[in-house]
Amino acid sequence: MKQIISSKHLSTIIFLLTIVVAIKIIWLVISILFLPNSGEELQQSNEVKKLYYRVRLSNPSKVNVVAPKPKQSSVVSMKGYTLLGIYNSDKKLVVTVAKGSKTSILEGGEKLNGFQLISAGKDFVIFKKNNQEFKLSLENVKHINKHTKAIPKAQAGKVTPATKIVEEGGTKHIPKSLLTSYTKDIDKVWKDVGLSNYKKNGKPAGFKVNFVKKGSDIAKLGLQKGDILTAINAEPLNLSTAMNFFNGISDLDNLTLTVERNGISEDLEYEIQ
Amino acid sequence: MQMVKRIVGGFFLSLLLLWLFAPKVELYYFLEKFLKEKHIVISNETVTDTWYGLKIKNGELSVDGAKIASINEVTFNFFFFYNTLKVDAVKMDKSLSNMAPKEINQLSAIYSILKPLQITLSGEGSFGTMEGQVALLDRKVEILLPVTKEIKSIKKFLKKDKEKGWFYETNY
Repeated sequence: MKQIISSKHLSTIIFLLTIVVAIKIIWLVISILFLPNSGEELQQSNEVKKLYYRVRLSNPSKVNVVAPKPKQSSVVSMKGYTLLGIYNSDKKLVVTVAKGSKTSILEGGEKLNGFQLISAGKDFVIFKKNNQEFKLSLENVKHINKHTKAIPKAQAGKVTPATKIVEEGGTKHIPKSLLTSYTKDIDKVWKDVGLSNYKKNGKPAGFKVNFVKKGSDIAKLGLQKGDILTAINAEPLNLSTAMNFFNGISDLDNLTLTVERNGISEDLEYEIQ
Repeated sequence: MQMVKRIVGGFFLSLLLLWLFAPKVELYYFLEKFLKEKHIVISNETVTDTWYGLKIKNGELSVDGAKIASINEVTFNFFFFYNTLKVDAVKMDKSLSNMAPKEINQLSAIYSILKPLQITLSGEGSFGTMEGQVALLDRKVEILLPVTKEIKSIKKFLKKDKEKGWFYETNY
């Protein structure tokens, strides 16, 4: 019988087919064993919280819970403030205070508009401001003695529009226009502050402040060379958080920058007006 | 002689088939996994195997969870001796409008066996035109901007030279 195809050609075709099949099998095995069958998608969205309630439940050693002092030498009215809740244990003191429509959660030692939370009783808390103490009970404000001084209107609630950063009772008030001036002109940011990515164990962990221009508004915010910005409003700081902060800056009412300074983490708090 | 021909031919055929039959989409997913470790994610894209390369359409590029840009099309062609990566219509996120060029109309990277130690770059966008190279041995990137348009936002990354004009260079 005459052969349709010579044995030489047949062997070449078999050789080629063997290569094709072998390569197919190699890739099939690699695909099954080592290669993923779906891609990666962006999942997280780190939007900066517009209102920030800070309850630091970790690091209890920093919480400064002081025993209640029923009698104080002087008192200033805390008009407009309402005590909504108290959590007072041996190690931790956390209270909820409302002022107008704003509610803040404070822990022992923290400040609210310059009022530092120093202690609490069963149904009241004691704040301190400018060496004067205030008692805020669960329902209303009670004066401890007769040496009551009315709080200046600016401190008691009404805020006059400002154009510069003003420090009032430990809290810095930043005019919104100042912040938006930075978002409108990004070059202004880079002129006033130098930032670089900071990594911990190879992972992004914030931004390092390489320089702060003396006398600039950023210097007035309290940032220093060598600081490591680790969080904005309790959101771990990364490029995403920074950009969301940058884009949503006009909606923020308050701002807390967590910085690591000389190895110690501390919060820089601001009110945006 | 016949045997030598068969071995050499078989070798080159194997190389060709290795690429043609490669599960390129899965290899791309593998690359994505690697990029994710570097906090770079391309999402919502459509990936197509084109036998000799890959086509990626409508991707959104994010770094550190922040959306950086949307990319209309990326084409990667692999022809052993001449390989190209072309990126079409990159729109930067509006939040970056003050820090990066708004649009990159076209960007291409070419690796040719004729210049084995470098990758040639070229592009065009709202910043003007660019051309440059990646020196693989020196691990250096140099990009020249012979025609500049809107470069205010990227000026801080650039240097200026009397001969070269505006340029960017970095080592990796």
